[in-house]
Amino acid sequence: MIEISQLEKIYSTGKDCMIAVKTTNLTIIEGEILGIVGESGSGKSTLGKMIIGLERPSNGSITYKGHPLWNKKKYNRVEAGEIQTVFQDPQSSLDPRMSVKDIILEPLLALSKVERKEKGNRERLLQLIKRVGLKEEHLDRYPHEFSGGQRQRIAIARALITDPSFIVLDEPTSALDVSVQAQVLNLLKELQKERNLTYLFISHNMSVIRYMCQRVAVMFKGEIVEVGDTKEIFEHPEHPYTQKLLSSVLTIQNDTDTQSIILK
Amino acid sequence: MQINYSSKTLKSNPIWYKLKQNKMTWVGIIILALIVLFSVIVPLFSPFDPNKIDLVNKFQPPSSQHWFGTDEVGRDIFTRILYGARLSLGVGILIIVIAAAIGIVIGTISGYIGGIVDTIIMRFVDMILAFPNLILAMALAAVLGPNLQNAMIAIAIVKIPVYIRLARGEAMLLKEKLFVKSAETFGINKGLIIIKHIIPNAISPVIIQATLDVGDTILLIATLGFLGLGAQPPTPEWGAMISIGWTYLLTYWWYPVFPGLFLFLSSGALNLIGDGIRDVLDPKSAR
Amino acid sequence: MLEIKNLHVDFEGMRGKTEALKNMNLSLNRGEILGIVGESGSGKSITALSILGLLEENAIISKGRILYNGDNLLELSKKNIQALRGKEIGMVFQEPMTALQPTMRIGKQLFNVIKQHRNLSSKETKEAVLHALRDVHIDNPELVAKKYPFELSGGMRQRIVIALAMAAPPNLLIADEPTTALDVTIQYEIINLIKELNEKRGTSVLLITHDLGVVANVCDRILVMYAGEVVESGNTKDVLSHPIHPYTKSLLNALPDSVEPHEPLQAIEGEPPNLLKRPKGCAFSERCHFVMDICKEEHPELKDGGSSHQASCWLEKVIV
Ligand SMILES: Nc1ncnc2c1ncn2[C@@H]1O[C@H](COP(=O)(O)OP(=O)(O)OP(=O)(O)O)[C@@H](O)[C@H]1O
Ligand SMILES: Nc1ncnc2c1ncn2[C@@H]1O[C@H](COP(=O)(O)OP(=O)(O)O)[C@@H](O)[C@H]1O
Ligand code: SF4
Ligand SMILES: [Mg+2]
Ligand SMILES: [Mg+2]
Repeated sequence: MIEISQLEKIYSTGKDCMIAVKTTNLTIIEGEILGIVGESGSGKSTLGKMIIGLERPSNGSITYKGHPLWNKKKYNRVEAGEIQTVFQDPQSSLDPRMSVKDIILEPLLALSKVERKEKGNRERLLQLIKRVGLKEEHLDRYPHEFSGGQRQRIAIARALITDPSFIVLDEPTSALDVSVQAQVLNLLKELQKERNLTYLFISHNMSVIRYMCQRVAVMFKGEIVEVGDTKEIFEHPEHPYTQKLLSSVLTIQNDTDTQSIILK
Repeated sequence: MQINYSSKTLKSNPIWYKLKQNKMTWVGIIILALIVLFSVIVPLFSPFDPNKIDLVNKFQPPSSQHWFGTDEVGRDIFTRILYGARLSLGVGILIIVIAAAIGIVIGTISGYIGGIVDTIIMRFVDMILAFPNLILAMALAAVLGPNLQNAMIAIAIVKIPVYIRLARGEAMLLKEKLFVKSAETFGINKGLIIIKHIIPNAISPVIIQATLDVGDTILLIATLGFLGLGAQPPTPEWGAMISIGWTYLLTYWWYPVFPGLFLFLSSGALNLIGDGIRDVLDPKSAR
Repeated sequence: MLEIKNLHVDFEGMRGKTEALKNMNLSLNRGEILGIVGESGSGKSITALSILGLLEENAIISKGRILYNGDNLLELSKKNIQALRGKEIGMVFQEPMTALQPTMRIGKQLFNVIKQHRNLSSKETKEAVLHALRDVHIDNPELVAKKYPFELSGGMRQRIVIALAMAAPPNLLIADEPTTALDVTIQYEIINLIKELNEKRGTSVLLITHDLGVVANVCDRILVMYAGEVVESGNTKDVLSHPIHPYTKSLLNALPDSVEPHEPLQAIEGEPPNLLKRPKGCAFSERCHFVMDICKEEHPELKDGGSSHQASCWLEKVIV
């Protein structure tokens, strides 16, 4: 579905250059959840931003169903609402001065009038918010009245209103508590199955990646050092960085389970 | 549960809760309320016409009939001051509303679009801000010709850059906010983003600044009036009244003193209110 | 060495009184690492701030005592508690930048702190600075000492903060989410470091986190907090492998590791109660699978801050 080839992003700040993403190749297959893990600053978000048009690649190309997303300096939007995003911080990704209803309907502003009418009708809206676990009376409230998990549900509803096929999820649960994270992950997974969505799932949490993704790409200093089947990579990590990453995960081991790290 | 001090929260909460604690704000509110009340009521009931010449009664000292005395052509100073209050407050607020509205539109465009548009706009702004307020207002008023309308235009031009700068700064911060970034990913055009996200979120500091500025503007109008560059006699404008009354300070002290007192009280009251509002809306700057 | 007894903390606000901590009991022995876990808003940080006397102005401590080596910290004067902070009690917070002077070189900051707390000559202090940096596993201390905080990565900064906190050296280290802002690999190193300092110097540690994995790997004992109360306490191993309280159980079950990828996660439905008006009975009753009539009426109490494994749940009391 998405073909990334020789993609590069170089930020130049004054004299210095900073290579955020280094000649990257990656394929995202329709209907899959592809995970991206890596340490902070390894270029995960930058990669996602180039797909959704927030950062311009310095080199290389991204195609979406064969259609190039970047034409020189300009972002070629496939079709408004086809690619959507959910960001990490639900606090700042929702405009504090807009009601929940306006927030969810906002992406429709980019559509034609006819489509806006069709996709923004009240019935569809109500169905959608119910699906993500919100209530009708929430529509007239403002973001600050919601908890982190609820805000993330609002962000998910907003992403779904246009019926996208592909969603970039940049650390969608990193700001949430375990118990809330579980609710949101369940929702995301169910939605993906129901609507046959494709996700690019960015996270630094290995357990979340293991649970959510069929395939995973490990990023290290701007490069994808390993890509493959999640299970395969978790069981037989090849790259030293992947190995280090996996061995750093602090888990709650059961008494019988000795493979988890026990500190000296 | 997080305690959230965004202004939205405050909207749904009693602003009065915080205002109540701020005594000086209340002093300001009371003074201003009295002036407004009088300026509305007194002209309705006053037996005196603010512009009618009555040479027999010129230079009457304050008395039970003429509370603040009369001027060189026998007009009741108290009545004139309250007509002047209508004018000063009305014009002061009007100027600021216009300046703030223009400033916020230009400023948010400049800050959000950036690039060459921003560079050009900011050049102009820097140029205007390089001059002291008063000097520039005087020069502009002089060039445009001395009357109240031109003085208003001059003051507005002087004030707009402050709002442009403020709104631009806010817009540049907002531009990096995720909710603006997400709006960009939807493919919504920039104008709509400015209207839907940037302006509504940049407006609070502009309003705070505007309330702080009304008092200052009233002083500027009076100053221009005093210098003969603003409202012209016989308009009952405070500055113009003080200007003429000034020459009689030693003989007929009440003539310049009372308009001066009102000018001082109302701009002072407005400043107190402005401070109070800032503290309520903007907890960051609160002590 | 540290004991909190029956502590209640409220916040006066526009909408009324938030009961942020309710009947908090805790005891930390010398040389021990005690973990406090709970989701955000459960009162973890408030506990730490109460000990350090750093609560915000609108906080009201309505009841309770905080005993440090027998002295009630709540009765100490501002000056005395300030003297205690840094010298006796070191602290590390989530965001390392807040604890560092942005405009002062790392070496100088450490120098000042060490000089203040230890009776050393300037030359010895300089040595001690390098030593302190080496202790937190900074490989080239001479170089790092000359840097400014902004020139370092988040992980390095947190190490510096730990070095600063350990400079006195204190007998107690309070670390509030010290690794939450950091990557897994760096988290691993920092947690190791804390554990090592505890072992080498016998420093007691109060480690606050929402990450059960972290707790499982370093803490001797843990307290599980929910809605401003301790709901379960005991040895780490006991609590994590045989949790008693339904909340602790649900929390463990909600971890993505607890199920296979094709199964749904066992989320805890609902949300924690509003602390402005907490329920009469058990705070978890609205979300609990095992809720009984008594739960809604009467509040289950934890026996004390003692070391046995216990939970504040009617279930346990009914069965036992
Ligand atoms: N606008 C920018 N200007 C300069 N450098 C940038 C900019 N945005 C990102 N970078 C740099 O690019 C690199 C990759 O950043 P990116 O945000 O993609 O990291 P990430 O993997 O998403 O990290 P995190 O886990 O912290 O979100 C980082 O070193 C970052 O400092
Ligand atoms: N200054 C404050 N004013 C009012 N309420 C506060 C204040 N600080 C914290 N609280 C409330 O106290 C509760 C516990 O907070 P905290 O200890 O910071 O939680 P955490 O467990 O995430 O560290 C929360 O409900 C929070 O909203
Ligand atoms: S006391 Fe009752 S409601 Fe509370 S946790 Fe125990 S069983 Fe559940
Ligand atoms: Mg990122
Ligand atoms: Mg906290």
